[in-house]
Amino acid sequence: MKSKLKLLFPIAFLFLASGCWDKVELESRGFVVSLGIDLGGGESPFRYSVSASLPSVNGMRDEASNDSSKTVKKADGPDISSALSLMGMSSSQKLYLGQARLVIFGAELLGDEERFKEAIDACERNHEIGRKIFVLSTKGKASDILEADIGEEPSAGIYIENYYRNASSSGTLKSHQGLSNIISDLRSGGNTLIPEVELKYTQGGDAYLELGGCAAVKGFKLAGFLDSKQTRGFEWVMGDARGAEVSVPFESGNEPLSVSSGRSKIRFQEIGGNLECNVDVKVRGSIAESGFSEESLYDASALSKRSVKYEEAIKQEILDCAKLLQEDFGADAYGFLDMLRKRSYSAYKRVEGEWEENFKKMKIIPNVTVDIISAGAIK
Amino acid sequence: MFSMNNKISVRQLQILLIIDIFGTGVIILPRRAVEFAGQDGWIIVAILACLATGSAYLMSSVGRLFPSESFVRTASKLLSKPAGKALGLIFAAKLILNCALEIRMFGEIIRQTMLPNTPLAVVAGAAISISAYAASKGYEARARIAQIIFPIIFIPLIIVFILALRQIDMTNLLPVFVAKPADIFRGTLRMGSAFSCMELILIAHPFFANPEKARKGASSAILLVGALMLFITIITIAKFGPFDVSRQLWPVLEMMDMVEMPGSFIERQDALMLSFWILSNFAITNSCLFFSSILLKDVIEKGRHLPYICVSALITAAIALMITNAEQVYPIIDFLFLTLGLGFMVVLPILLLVVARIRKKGVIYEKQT
Repeated sequence: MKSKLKLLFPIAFLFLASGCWDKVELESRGFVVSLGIDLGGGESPFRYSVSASLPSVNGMRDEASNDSSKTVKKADGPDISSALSLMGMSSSQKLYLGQARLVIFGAELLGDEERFKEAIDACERNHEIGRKIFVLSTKGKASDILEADIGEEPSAGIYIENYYRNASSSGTLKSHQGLSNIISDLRSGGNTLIPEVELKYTQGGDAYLELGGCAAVKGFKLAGFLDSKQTRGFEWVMGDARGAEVSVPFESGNEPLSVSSGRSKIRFQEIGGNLECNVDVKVRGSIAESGFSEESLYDASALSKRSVKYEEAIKQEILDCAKLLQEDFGADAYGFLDMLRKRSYSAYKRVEGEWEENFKKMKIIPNVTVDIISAGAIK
Repeated sequence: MFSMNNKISVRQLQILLIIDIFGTGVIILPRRAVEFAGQDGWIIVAILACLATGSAYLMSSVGRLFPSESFVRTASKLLSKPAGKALGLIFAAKLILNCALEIRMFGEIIRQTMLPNTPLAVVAGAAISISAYAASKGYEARARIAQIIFPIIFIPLIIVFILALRQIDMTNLLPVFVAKPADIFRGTLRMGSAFSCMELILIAHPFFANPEKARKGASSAILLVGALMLFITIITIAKFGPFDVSRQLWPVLEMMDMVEMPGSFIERQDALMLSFWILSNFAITNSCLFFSSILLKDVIEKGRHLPYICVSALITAAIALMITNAEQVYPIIDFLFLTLGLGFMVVLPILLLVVARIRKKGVIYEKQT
C-alpha cells in the first residue's frame, strides 16, 4: 500500500509538470513572421492599421502547393493590442508573435509623434515580441510591403533576417536594425535612424524589396529620409561601414575600394566657446577593380594617390550626411549629446539645455585615413 | 564522503550559500541599482558585496561561540531562554515570508515568460512541494544536490555572460562617480535585500563538519557571489545603458536573450537561461523551508523537523497566493530587509558577540578562562 502511495505522487506531478494550461498544438498556432504598423485612416475610424504576415497553412503542409505561401491578415483598432486581438478573432489559429522577425512602420505613422511613441511602447511591452526583432521604415504603407507578391522572397521577415545575416552591405544600417538599439536611442534623446525598405518593380512588373537608406527620427517624429550614400556617411562616423564599396573616378575609370574595416573615434573640443567634433576614421580595404590599366598598383605612390582620393570621397560622404542631419533635420541621430555626457560631463552640462542649437552650430571635422591593404589578386 | 551524518564540508557550505543567495533578486538588481545611482549603480553593488562579506564574517563568528549548538540554544545561552525562543520564532517567520516572496516572484516570472495561462497556484504548489520533499531529506542531501546543480546553473550562465562581453559598450558606464553620495547610501540600504538568505549562516553552524574553517569559507563564498552580482550589473548597464535598464522589468533576462550565441539554434534563449535560474529558486525555497522547520522544532522542542516542514510549506503557499500584485513584492522585501534582515545579519551578531565577550561565554572565552 505504501509503495503504491509513493507511486501516486510522481504520477500526480506528471499532470502538473506539463504546463497543460498553456498547451497549443502546432497546427492551432498562427506564427506571425512580419508585422506592419500604419496609421489608421481613410474610411476607418480607428487610429492604427496593423498587418501581419503568416506562412499559410497550405504552404506549410505542401511546398509544391499552388496556394500562396503566405497569408496577410489586417485589422484596425484604437490601439495596437486591440488591433492584434481583432486580428486574432478573424483566425481559427492562435496568433503568436514570438517568432516574428520584422516590424515595419509606415511613413505616416512615423510622422505622428504620439502614435509612433505608442507603437514603440506596444512593441516593447508585448512580451511575445523580442528586443532582437528587426525594425524597418518605409516611405509608403507597411501593409503594402507585407502584401506584395514577391516570388523569390515570400516573407519579408525572413528576407530581412537572411539579408542582414548573409549579405548586409553598407548603407543599410547594420548596427541599427534591432528594436533594442532603437529603444536605447529614443530613450537617450528621442532621435534615431530606422533602416528603410521599399517595394520596387522591375521593368517586367515583378515586385522586389530594396533595402537601403533610412528614416531620421527627431523628437519621436519623422524628420526625413536619408538615401543609401547619406546613410553610409552616418556609418563612417559610427565606425560601422565594414563591407562598403567606395567607388571613385580615376584615370582609367571607376576604382572601387572594398572596405574590410572602418573604425572611428570621436573627440569633442571647445574652441572659442564653440563645440567641435573631430571624427577620426581609419579605413582598411582592397582595390577591387582598376580598369585594366597599365599602371602597377604594387607601387607605393600609386596606392598613396588612390588613398587620398578615397579619403576625400569618404570625407565628403560624412559631411553630406552631417549637413542633412544638422541643418535640414536638426536631428542628433549620432547620439553626440549622449557621447558628450559620457566623455565630458562638464561640457555636457553647459550645452544640454540648448542642444538643438548647439548641435546645428557644431563643426564636424572628419579626419579620414585610408589604408589600402591589397590591390587585388591578379591571376 | 558519502556518510549520512547530516554534516557538510566547507566546500558544500560555499556552494549552498552561493546558490541560496543567487535568486530572482539578481534578475532585477541592475534596474534597482540604476534607479538609485544611474550608470554609477554598480558602485552600490560593490559596496553591498563588501558589507555582506563583513556581515558573513560576523555571523560565522557567532557560530564559532558554540559550534555544535543550534541558533536557538546559542541565543538562549547568551541572552536568555525566552529571548532565544522568541528570536527563533521571529527568524522562522522571516524565512517563511522570504520564501513566499521568492515563490511569488518566481511565479510571476514564469507566468510572463513561459506559462501565461497556468495558474500561480499550480506553479507555486509544484515548486513548494518539490522543495519541501528535498528539505525533508536533511541538510546533507541538500548539500549533495547543490553540488550536482551548481555547475548546471553556473557554467551556462558564466559562458553567456562572457559572450555578452563582446557585445557591450563600456562607455555606457561613463561618466563615473557622478551619483550623489546620498543616493548611493539610500541605494545601499534599500538594495541589501539582494543578499537575503545570507542570514542562514547563523543557523547552519551545527551542520558543519569543520566549524573552525566555516568563517573563512562563508566569507569567501559571499565575496564571490558579490563579485558575480557586480559583474552582472556592470555588463547589463554596459549592454543597454542606464536609461534603458531603468525601464526594463527584468534587464538581466533581456540581456541574456540578446546575447548572440555562436551556432545557437535555440529560439527562446531567455527561457533556457531562466531554467537554470529555476534550479537556484528551488534551492532557496528548499533552504527556507528546511531552516524554518529546524527553528520551529528548536523552539517547540518536540519531534523531528518533518511535520514542521509541512507547516512551513502550507504557510508559505498561503502567503504567496495572497499577494495578488507581483509589484507589491519589492516594497515588502525592502521592508523585511531593513527591519529583520539587518537585524539578523548585523545587529544580532554584534549583540551576541558583545554579550559573549562580556559574559565570557562560548568555546573561545571558556578556553581562555
